[in-house]
Order: sequence, then structure tokens, then C-alpha cells
Amino acid sequence: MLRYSVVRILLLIPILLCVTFIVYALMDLAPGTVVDSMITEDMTTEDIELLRAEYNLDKPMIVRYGYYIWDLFHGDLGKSQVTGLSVFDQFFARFPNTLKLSVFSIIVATVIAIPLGIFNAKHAGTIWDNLTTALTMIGLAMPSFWLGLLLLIWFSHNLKIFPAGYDGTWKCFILPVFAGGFSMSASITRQTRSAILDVSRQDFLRTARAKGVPERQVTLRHELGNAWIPIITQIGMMLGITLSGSAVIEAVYSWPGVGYMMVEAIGRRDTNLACGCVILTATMYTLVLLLVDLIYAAVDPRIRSAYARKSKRRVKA
Amino acid sequence: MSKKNTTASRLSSQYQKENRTAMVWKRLKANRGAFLGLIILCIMFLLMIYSFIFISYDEISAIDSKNTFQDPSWEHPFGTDEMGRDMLKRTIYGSRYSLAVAFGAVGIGMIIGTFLGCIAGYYGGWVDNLIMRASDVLSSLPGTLLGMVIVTILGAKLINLIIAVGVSCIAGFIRMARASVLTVKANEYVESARAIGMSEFRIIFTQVLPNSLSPLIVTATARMATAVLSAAGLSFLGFGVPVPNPEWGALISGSRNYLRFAPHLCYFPGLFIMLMAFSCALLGDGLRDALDPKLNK
Repeated sequence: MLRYSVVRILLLIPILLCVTFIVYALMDLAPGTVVDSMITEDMTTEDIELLRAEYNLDKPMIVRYGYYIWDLFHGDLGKSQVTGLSVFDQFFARFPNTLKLSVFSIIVATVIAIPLGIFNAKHAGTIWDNLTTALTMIGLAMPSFWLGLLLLIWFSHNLKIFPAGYDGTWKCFILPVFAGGFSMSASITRQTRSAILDVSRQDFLRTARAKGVPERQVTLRHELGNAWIPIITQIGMMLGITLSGSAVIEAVYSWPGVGYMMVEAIGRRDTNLACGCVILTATMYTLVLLLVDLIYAAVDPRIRSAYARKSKRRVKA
Repeated sequence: MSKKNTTASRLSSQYQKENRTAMVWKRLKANRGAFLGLIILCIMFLLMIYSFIFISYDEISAIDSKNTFQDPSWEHPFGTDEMGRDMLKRTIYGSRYSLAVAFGAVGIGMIIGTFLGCIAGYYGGWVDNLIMRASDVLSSLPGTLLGMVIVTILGAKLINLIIAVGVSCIAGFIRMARASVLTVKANEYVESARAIGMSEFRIIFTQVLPNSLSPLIVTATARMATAVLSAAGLSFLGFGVPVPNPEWGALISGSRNYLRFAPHLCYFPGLFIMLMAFSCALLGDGLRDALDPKLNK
């Protein structure tokens, strides 16, 4: 298990290196550079060349990438070319806001979705099931930024219950958490329902009921206990995606998170900031997915034993 | 079937194919949700055709400064915007972008992803390893991010939005296609095709692929819903169809400054995005049930 985790983490390094290269190269291909916005009319060609040299733009892309990676290995993602602040500082100044938002959204979505999914699976085919299934379909189809704007119109502009943007109080979390969490909870509900339905045909449930285990415990321990994997996958993926900053939700609520900062950085051709943010969020995303894989092994002894066998085979070979 | 196909077996396979299509269609019709999805999608298509014939670009961009910010009325069922343009016409005109993204982006993702996935699954070995690691790299970038970067490089245009959304669904299709090719590959008819000397390429595309198509179709339909949503999201952020064009996401983005007194500008385009994604999701769900070989009898 430990061996497996270490191997998986080491395997992340080449993948992330590829990601940095792709992002850096792509941003470099984009028309326009950060210097363009600094050029004024009274500058001579030499001034412009000097300015370009200052940002290393006179060197080929691969050389600049080399510098970039060298700095990266020294824990330095460079400075934003627009504000001049360190990318790390700028990212982690804003990251807590995104983290809070995504963790709250995930928690709310999960707390609503799992009981609902279990209820649906237990009452499959009834009118309640059909109604909730239709509702989850709508949740999946609703663009989250539209829901965010609707909530903004109704609860902030008309009823004036919640603030329209970030103001640091608990109240400002309600609308974005709901706007972002609705579609998440819809997909977790669907996943829970189908996972429980898959398990519900198994023999061991009949055995458990036959030996007199109370129904509550059958559901919670035997059914849910065996249906965790797809549900955790779904939750993990959602967390990974929102951690990278749900840019649309942050745009709607002018949320000071990393998602919207990235949008602005890409728009201003602030290559360092954009690359740094993309690399950090991609790292976070892959780490969350890896964590999900490791949690599988922790919750499911079947997978744990498969890992054990695999590593043994590798040792022999 | 093999090269030395007899007429009889060709006829019987033809018959079976028709029979299967008819059966899938029958099951799809019986599924009320899927049928509803199909109807909504057809209506969207009709709206698009209508807009091509009857709504000119000049008509939707003509400024009418006397009639700005009108609430919905009989004359303007969806109201008018800050320049007095009729929102109903603009919204209907916008259907072409959404449909183009839904089919175009998923088409790109499906063709490239399936091609690579088939090769990876069929050949195995280092080819498989190379393609799968590439897909790992691709899928470790969140979709919206990749989309924004691609649109920035290529420029804000419809075709580039389609490419951006398409690229971000390649990885999913690679994995799907590879998995189903791996299961199909073990069948005897693949071996017999190899035994009669069929080329590898033909085996993949005439024997293996057609038999692993149904999960791909289901994924494609379901992916259309997410493609519509992410394209609308990208346009909303300004990384999509450029502003004066009435793409639905861009329309919503444009309405943000007037939310307080003209919320109708935000309501209708969003409703259309939702209907579009809803219909694709319903259809995908229905197709999954209809194409499920476990329910074949």
C-alpha cells in the first residue's frame, strides 16, 4: 500500500512536467505579449527591444521554459508581469476563498445528495423517485452561472436578504454555495441512486436480512458500505474541479478566488501568473484524484488486496 | 463480416441490423424522458433552420433607440435589450451556436478520441502506454482552463470555441474507446478476421469499432449536454463567440449590467441553454437504456 502510494506520487511528477510544458508553450503561442500593453508612442524601437529583453522575450521559447522550470524547482513561480508581485503569494492570498467556497459547496451537496440518493433507490419507480430524478436532470442541465444570476436577482436585488458579492460574513457564502452546489448535488444524487441500486440485487443483502439485521443497518452498513466507490469518485472529481476555482461562479459573485484571477491573467497575457495558477491548480486537481484512489484502497479491502498482489508480482519480476 | 461473404449471410446480417435499429427505436419511444429530449432537440433544430431562413443578421443587430429595455409583451415576447433589439429573435438566432458546439465539439472529441483509443486498445504495448499517458496529461487539466487557454491562442471565434470544447472531451473518449476495444478484441470473430488475412487497420475499423459503438454513442450524447454548458460558460467569461453575436452565454453575460431593472434579458437565454442541455442529457440516458445489450431480449 505504501509502496503503491509512493509510486503513484512519483508518477505524478512527469505528468505535471508535461502539463507545465504544454501550458507554457500554449501561452507562448497566444498572439500578443505582456510587453504590448506597456509600449507607449514615444518609445523608440531600441526601447522596445530593451523592454523585451527585460522579460527575456528576445530568447527562444525553449530557453525561457528552461529558466522557468529551473526557478520552479527552486520553489519560485516567478512574478506576475503586470502587478510585479510573486505568483505564489498572489495565488495563496486568494486560494483560501476558493477553498472555503468549494469545501462548503461539496459538504452541502453531499449532505443533501446521499440521503436523497438512498431514498430514491429505496423507492425506485415511485412518483417520488421520478420527481427527484427529473429534478436532478434539471440540476445537471442548469448552467451554474445562470442559476447564480437568478439567485442574485431574487435574493439579493429583490428581497435583499443576501449580499451580492464577497463581504467576509457567513451570509455571502449562501448564494454561491447553492449556485455551485446544485449541479454537484444533482450528480452525486444520481450516482448514489445507481450505485445503491446496483448493490441492492446482491445476495449478501438477503443474507443480512435473513439473519435479522435491522433494515436501517442493512442500508447503512451493507448497502452503502459496498456502494461507496462510485460515490467517492464522483465527490472527488467535483472537489477537484471546484478547487481549480469555479471561474464562472466567482465571476458572477465577484468572488476574490483563484478562478477569476486566472481568467483575468489569461486575458491580460500575464504569462507567469496564468502559467503559475494553471500549474498549481492542475497539481491540486491531480492530487485530489490521487487521494480518491488512495481512499478507495482504505475503504475497500478488495482493492487493498489487489494492490498487495500487484506489488508482490512487481517485486518478483 | 469476412471478405468471402455469401449473399445469404450478408442478407441475414442486414436483416439483423435493421431489426436491432428498430428495436432500439421502439425502446427509445417507450422511454418518455428520452422521447421528450428528442422532441426538444428537434424543436431546436427547427428553430435553427427557421433562423437561417427568416432572421437576417442585420435584423437582430439593428439599433432601435426608442424601444430599449422593454418588458416582455405581445410585440416582443422576450422583451428588448439595451439597444432595443428583439430578444426573441436574438435568442432564436443563437440556437445555431449552441447546436454547432454540441455536435461539432463532441464530433471532434469523438473522432480523435475514438481513433486514438482504438489504436491504444488494439495494439497495446508502448503505443497504448504513450497514448494513455498523453490522455492522463490532457485530463489533469481542468476543462474550463484548457478551453480558455485554447480560445486565447486561436482567437475568439465560433470554430475555435468548438475546438476548445472538443479538445477537452478527447481524453474521455480515448478511455471509453480503449475499454470497449479491449473487451471486443477478445472475441473469436476478430481472430477469424485476422486468420483470413485482413489488415490490422481494417480489422479495427470494420470489426472492432462497429461492435464497440454503443457505449461511445451513449457517452457522446451525454457529453453533448456538458459541451453545451461549458461552451456557454466560456462565452459567459468572454472566451467564446465574440460579443455582438447572440450566443446564449454571451447574451447572459451582456445582461449582467442591467439585472436590477431588466432581469428578462437574463431569463430567456439561460432557459434555452438549460433546455438544450436537458434534452441531450435525457436522450443520453434513454439511449443508454435502449442500447444496453443486457436488456436485449
